[in-house]
Amino acid sequence: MRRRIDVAAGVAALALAALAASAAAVAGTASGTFGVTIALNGPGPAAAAGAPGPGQDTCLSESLRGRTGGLVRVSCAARRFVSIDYYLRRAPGLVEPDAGASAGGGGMITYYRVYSIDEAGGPLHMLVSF
Amino acid sequence: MKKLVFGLLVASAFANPAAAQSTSGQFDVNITLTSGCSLSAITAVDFAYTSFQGGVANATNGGFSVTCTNNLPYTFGLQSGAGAATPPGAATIGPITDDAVDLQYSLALSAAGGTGSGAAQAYSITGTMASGQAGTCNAASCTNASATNNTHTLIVNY
Repeated sequence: MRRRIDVAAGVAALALAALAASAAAVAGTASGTFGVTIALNGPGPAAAAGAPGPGQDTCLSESLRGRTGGLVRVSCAARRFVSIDYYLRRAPGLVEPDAGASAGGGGMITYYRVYSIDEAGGPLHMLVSF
Repeated sequence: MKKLVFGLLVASAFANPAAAQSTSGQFDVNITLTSGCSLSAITAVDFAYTSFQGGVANATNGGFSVTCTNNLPYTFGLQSGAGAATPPGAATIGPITDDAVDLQYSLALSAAGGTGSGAAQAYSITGTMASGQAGTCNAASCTNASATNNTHTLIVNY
């Protein structure tokens, strides 16, 4: 019984010591919240102030003929729906993307990345429509 | 002779008040100073990003000031979200994916902490956004005003 009391007292002392130590380490805190704002613009002049409205668009695209791993940027002066399809020369028409392709879908900001094509059998053609 | 004695008695009667006795004691003044820090309002951390941009985007603003008791050391911590603060927080948080525009960013602080001077000391929350991100937007430009995860917490530990 005596031993149990001693152990309990020891545990209590340790707990008090730990409490005192933690209190010394952090006397107090103050906190506040803040917001994060993000303004996302489409690439090119689309987001420029005073951009022409629908029907007055100018769309430019870079050609990356013969290059691999490139990024094609299409810049439109105003809101335009952009879609991207691709096909292989030896198999005209649209083909299903293989497992290595990912698509951002059609939209005003669209991407279509093909990073692995098995047995392509010819150059890959990409069609960007807007 | 009687006149002389009478004159001395009269003179001593007038001199007595000037020689009144005094006593004194000392006392202590005890002061218990509870140190503390106050945190100002924090300006929003602002990002401007262009889809697929080639370089890292650094945030602007995010400024705040801390006023602490002289010589009191303090540290900063960040915590994602606007829930109850859980000290001490982290030096950096992220990447956080904004649920409105689908862009990832990370946040840090201009300093790990400081020592109180009794005056306001200025710091800022810094932010970076990696290059090459597409983002999600159904117009020429979008903001994350509708995001549900665009508020975070700064903690001052002292």
